Amino acid sequence: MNQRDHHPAPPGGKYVLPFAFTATTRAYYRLWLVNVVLTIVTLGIYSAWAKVRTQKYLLGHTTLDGGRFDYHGKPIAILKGRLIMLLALAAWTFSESLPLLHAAIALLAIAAAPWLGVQALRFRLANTSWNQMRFRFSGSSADSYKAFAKSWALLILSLGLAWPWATQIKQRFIAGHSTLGQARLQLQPCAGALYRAALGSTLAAICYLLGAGIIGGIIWQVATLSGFAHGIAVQFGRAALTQLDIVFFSMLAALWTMATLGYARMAISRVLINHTTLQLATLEARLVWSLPTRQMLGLHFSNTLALLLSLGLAWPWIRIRTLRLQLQSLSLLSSSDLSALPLHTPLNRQDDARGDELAELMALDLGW
Amino acid sequence: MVTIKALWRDGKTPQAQAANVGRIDDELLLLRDGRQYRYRLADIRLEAGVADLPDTVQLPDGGTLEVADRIAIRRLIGGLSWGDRSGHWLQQSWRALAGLALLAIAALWLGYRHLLPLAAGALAPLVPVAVEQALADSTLQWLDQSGAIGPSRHGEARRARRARLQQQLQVLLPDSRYRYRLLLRDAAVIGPNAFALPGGTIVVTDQLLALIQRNDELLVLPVSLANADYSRAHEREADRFAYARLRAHGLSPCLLGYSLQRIEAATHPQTTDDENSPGSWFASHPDTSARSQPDGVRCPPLPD
Repeated sequence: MNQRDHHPAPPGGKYVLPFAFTATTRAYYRLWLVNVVLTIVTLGIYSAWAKVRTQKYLLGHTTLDGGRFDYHGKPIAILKGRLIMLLALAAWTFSESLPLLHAAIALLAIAAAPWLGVQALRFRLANTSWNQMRFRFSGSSADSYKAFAKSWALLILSLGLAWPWATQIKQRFIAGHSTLGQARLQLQPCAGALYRAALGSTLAAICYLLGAGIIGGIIWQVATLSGFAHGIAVQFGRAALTQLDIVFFSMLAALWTMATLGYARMAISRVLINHTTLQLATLEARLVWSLPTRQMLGLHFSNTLALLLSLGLAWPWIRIRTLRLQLQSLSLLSSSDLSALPLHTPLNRQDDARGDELAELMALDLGW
Repeated sequence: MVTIKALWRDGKTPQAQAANVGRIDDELLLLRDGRQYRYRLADIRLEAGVADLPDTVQLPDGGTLEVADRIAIRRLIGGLSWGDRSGHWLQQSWRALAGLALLAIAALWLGYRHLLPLAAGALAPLVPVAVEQALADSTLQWLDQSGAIGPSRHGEARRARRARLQQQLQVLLPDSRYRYRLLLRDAAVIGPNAFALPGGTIVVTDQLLALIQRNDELLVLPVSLANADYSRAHEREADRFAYARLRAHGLSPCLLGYSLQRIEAATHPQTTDDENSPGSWFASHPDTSARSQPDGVRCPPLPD
């Protein structure tokens, strides 16, 4: 099945091992509908099962070099996690009028973040597999606190200007401890590229502002010329028209914010993924994500527009088209073929440091 | 023996190997590399593939079998678990989905109509009064700052009336856990109105105070408000509560109708049609004429 159809080695003697995504919008829509409906009927309890089914479907339709990914999380474990999350949220909401307790909860959340991150990654990676090989996260809580402290200190001391390095410190910790078999991922220095991604995101924000302005202007003109606005004012009063205007502008602002944030997130992921290498003995590989900026710009604008116009119903379509676009352009450039990898060693699987950020980056890709 | 094509993986290396699977009695037979492996059916687990994905058989040694022919493997092993089967049925049947969708809509409606009030009723007494009062204070502060309401413009006489009203309110609602606080505010934008904030804070506008001269008529509005916690849809219930309180203190339940009629007459001097302007007291309240006939009692016409 896998490792069958190998792709011609590019110049430099490298293999291009592609990712592929075969999920269909139709099937995912159905899955999503059943999930939503059952979650409502069961007062949210089914959401844990819904998550497992969704992850199984999306990962099951994601392949690398013909090998399928899979998800193995147990719904009961997820349900417990969600209950704890719900309790935390309730504590946060109900403590709003008691400033001291509220602040204490906020401090606790910040203090627990590095530990929580490790717990989340362990669960996530241990329950994700490629070709039925489980990923693993080997980072310790102590290392996590060190990495987070360094990253936050750098961020605060530089007043945010050094964020690429802060991001790099955190990502390096995550990547360096995410393993698959004995393969080891590494994040190469990419501060300059991260700065460029930030600049690109700013330019994208300006583009989206223009786009939202043009669409808003057209709707405004149509509403005015067709007499719709006048009709509203006559029928329901000027106050109603003002309220409608406020809703209209809030929607445009939401469109702009969502598109910009979506673009920025993807632009940063693109840099991180393109600077991720995989090393194991004689094998050298690196991830290549060749998604053109122009496509990214169009993707996020059309996504948010569709989401707003469909009142959220376009969500499954958006998710599938986004994943398809991302995974179609993602591949692993390798010095040899993965089937030849000595991924398995007779040693205890628990105590070797394998893999890297592959899983974490995949996690980003798969919209966790 | 029936055999099914499968892909075997050991769970430690990425390579997949073509294999054949069969069954002898309560054992699963795995044929690969020209050799036979046997597993007790009780030790293996069949995992249904989501949507169009293949089924997976988890072997006790950590190996897995990927089987594309889902019907065959399910028949071979003896069917899916109850949970998997129902999940599968729900995913496959449009009729099940349609039924569930209706059920979900009904659940949402019932939750909104009955569960939410029930939960509010159960949770409200658990919130400390001090917390409620803090919430009311911040809301009041926000309202004051927004310019929607301002300090009362009334003089000493009205303030004395306010103190009397506050006292009477406490008498009318003896079982309440709140110490009622009646505040006067000037609200030209809002007009004659009264609203309840959490923790027993009731705001009456100058405009309402000027409109209704009789204390007993004015009092019914806060009494009605005191019980209307969460939604205007439940105002009829609040009305019934007000009627009962009035009766318990030897007052006529008609008083509520009178005060409402006075407000309506003042806000709609030309009552030509039943339409209400947005923002008025009546825009989202039950019909005044209906509320003027408490529990079917015919009230005498509005006294001057």
